[in-house]
Amino acid sequence: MVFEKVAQILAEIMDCDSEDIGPETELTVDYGSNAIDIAKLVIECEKKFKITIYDEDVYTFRTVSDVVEYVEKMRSGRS
Amino acid sequence: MDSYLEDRDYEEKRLNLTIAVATAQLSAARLRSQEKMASIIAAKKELMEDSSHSISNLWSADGFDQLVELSQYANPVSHKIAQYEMESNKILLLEKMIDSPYFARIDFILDESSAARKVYIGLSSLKDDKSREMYVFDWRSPIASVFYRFGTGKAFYQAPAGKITGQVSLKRQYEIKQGKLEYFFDADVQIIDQFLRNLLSQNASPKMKTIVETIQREQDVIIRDMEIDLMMVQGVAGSGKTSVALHRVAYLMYQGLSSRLSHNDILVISPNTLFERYISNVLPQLGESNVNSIIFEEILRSVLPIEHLQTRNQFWEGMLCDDDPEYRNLLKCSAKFKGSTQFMEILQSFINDLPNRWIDYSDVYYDGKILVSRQLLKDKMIKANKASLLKTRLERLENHILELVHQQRQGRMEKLEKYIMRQSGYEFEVEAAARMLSIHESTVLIKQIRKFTELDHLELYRRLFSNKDYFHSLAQDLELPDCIDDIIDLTCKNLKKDGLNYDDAPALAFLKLETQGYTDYQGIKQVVIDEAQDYNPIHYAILNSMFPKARYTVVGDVDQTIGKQEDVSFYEQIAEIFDKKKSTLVTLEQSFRCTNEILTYSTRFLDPGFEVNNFNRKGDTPAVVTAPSRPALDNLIVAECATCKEMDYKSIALICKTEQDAVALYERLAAQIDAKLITSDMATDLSGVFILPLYMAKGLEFDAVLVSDVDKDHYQSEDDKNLLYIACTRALHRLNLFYSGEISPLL
Repeated sequence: MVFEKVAQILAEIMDCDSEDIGPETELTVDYGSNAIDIAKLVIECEKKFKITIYDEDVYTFRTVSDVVEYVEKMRSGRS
Repeated sequence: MDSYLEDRDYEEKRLNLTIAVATAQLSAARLRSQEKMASIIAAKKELMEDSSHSISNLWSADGFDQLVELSQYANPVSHKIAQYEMESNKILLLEKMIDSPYFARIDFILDESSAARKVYIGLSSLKDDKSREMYVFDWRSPIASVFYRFGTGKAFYQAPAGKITGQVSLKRQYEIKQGKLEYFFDADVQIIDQFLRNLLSQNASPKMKTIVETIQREQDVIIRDMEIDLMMVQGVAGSGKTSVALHRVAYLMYQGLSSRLSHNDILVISPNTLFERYISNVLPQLGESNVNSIIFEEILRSVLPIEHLQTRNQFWEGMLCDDDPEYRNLLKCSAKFKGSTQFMEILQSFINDLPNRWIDYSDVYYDGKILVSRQLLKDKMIKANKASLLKTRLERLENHILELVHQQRQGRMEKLEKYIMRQSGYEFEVEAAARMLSIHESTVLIKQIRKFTELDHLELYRRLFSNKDYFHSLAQDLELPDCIDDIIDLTCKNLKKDGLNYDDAPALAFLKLETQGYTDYQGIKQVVIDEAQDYNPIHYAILNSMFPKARYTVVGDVDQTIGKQEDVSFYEQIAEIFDKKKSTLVTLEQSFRCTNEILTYSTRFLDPGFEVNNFNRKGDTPAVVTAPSRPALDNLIVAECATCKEMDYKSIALICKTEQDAVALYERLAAQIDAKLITSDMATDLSGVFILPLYMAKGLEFDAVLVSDVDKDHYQSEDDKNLLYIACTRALHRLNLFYSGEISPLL
């Protein structure tokens, strides 16, 4: 569930097909996403999932599944 | 004679009846097993389809970590497999039962009864489901203890309901093979001795066998104990320490429905892989699943993410091979010191001093202002509750700093956005660009904070040894070895290299465990430690913090140490470290392995006056053989191997002091005899001719032993005496020692 939404957000930012994105897709290598794309991803995830992503944690996001796990953790922490 | 024939007739009928009952149960079990297999295949298929877990990897777990994962892993397949395994186990037991259902019988008359109950004792129990009659009692059942502990006459046993007293009117032993009664005898003490002597005269087996038929009273007391949290056994060579420890495990897996242990609750710590392999058959033979077995280095590797850890064998090899006696002595002192309780106290003081002296706090800035000063951070840490682990306290400190950061983040973001708006190029992406800057500066910030909230244990350990005055200040009231400054220098030098030395690895693991704790393996309920004398207090402290809820069975022999000297006070240290409510030390003084001649010869390497009580078995007197040259001596060794083979000995060991010597001997002899070289970390069945370093022979036994190089250069010190004692007591039937040049003064 979370994964599909994150993949969709990323696909929109990177202007690609969300079908091509898997959990192990690397944020910087596979899609050439740069720092600003990651900032966008963070902003959009915060809006979509209604959570706060702390900026000092963002450097740990290596793959899509890292983002997904973080979102899930923040959502469960909130409820 | 008539009465013997009558008895024989009765016993044969009884045997056939028992086998018939077992055969019927076997067919039923096989049918059930097939059904279960079918349902596993169906469930596996389902699992493969919707999970990435590989079943084959899960069920062939070798590593310690995987084993733990495995024990925590629960899904429908593992449940079904567990059921299937239970059924397969039952089938194996029934097959064994049909081959040889029991080995003993006692007739027991309860005090308030007049009729004798015939109790047949075997590897497992057999009960007729319909009539509920017990055809065979498991050797671990309460009533079977009477067989091990009493002769005919008054006896008692502990049943769940309490003490049961009565009379033993008959004690009988059987030899049953392939369902046929070969012979039986009514056992008084002398006949049992003869029976045991015959068994002990047999060749050594490639893997250790069970001893259920011959468990001695004092061994039985250890095996059946359920009360003691820390069971320590000091036993002379060949007293059956390892067997007792493993049978105790089997007993714990059998006893009591509520407290029964599963194989995943138990951990056996073996001295090396060869030994691990040697004992791997005992529990399956007893009808139990094998338990997890590891060597200590694997435990260290699971705590320390360091690639090159010097193993104990490598350490021994290095120490035993070094030509410089002073350096050898330094290595020995260093290992003893770093394994000692004194050093653990120093490490503990060091840990207490970390927040005050060794953590590099720094001022934390955010949004252009100082957020919190290093002095404030240090004060906060010093005032923090010391009951929490240091790691926990540091995590709290980090969270505290981040909370302060988060409070100011919104203001900071506004500033960053204004800044971006003033720049060109990002007109349409102000929010994202500002966020990008915030992410960047937050990453720098967190890395700066983690420099002091995360511990670099290796670096801290280096620092401990980097300043002698500081080291001595931590050791104020402690007794230090004379060569402590040399130890510090040596350690400093070693810590600059890649990898960790044998004696530094446990110290570093201790430092890590004491600062950050460990929760992975807390489910372990019973830890068995074999060759206990080869570990130091710090090893026991590590086990204690990793398996805090476990009970321990610790077996060893303080006369079989390598590179250090211990006495019985060693066990007091262990007891102090584990600090269990109920602990005891049992001594096994009777040896069963060697012939009288071999044991008498071996005890010359122990302190004068040391007496081993040997089970009386005769053999050849060990000989010390010499030749004027090495090639001539090699010929004698080859000839002795041939003699041993003629005598039909199946396992023959050529024991050398070190691996280096073993390799040299192997290279000289390889063309002449079919021998196998055994080096560290090897595992093989013990059948054939082996050339091996002494430390790999620990805990093992061979039909014949040839001790090589017993010359003045190889064996001269007190420590070397222990080595010779270990080497000589590996032999069951035949022992010879070989040297050229000058004979060792110890012989």
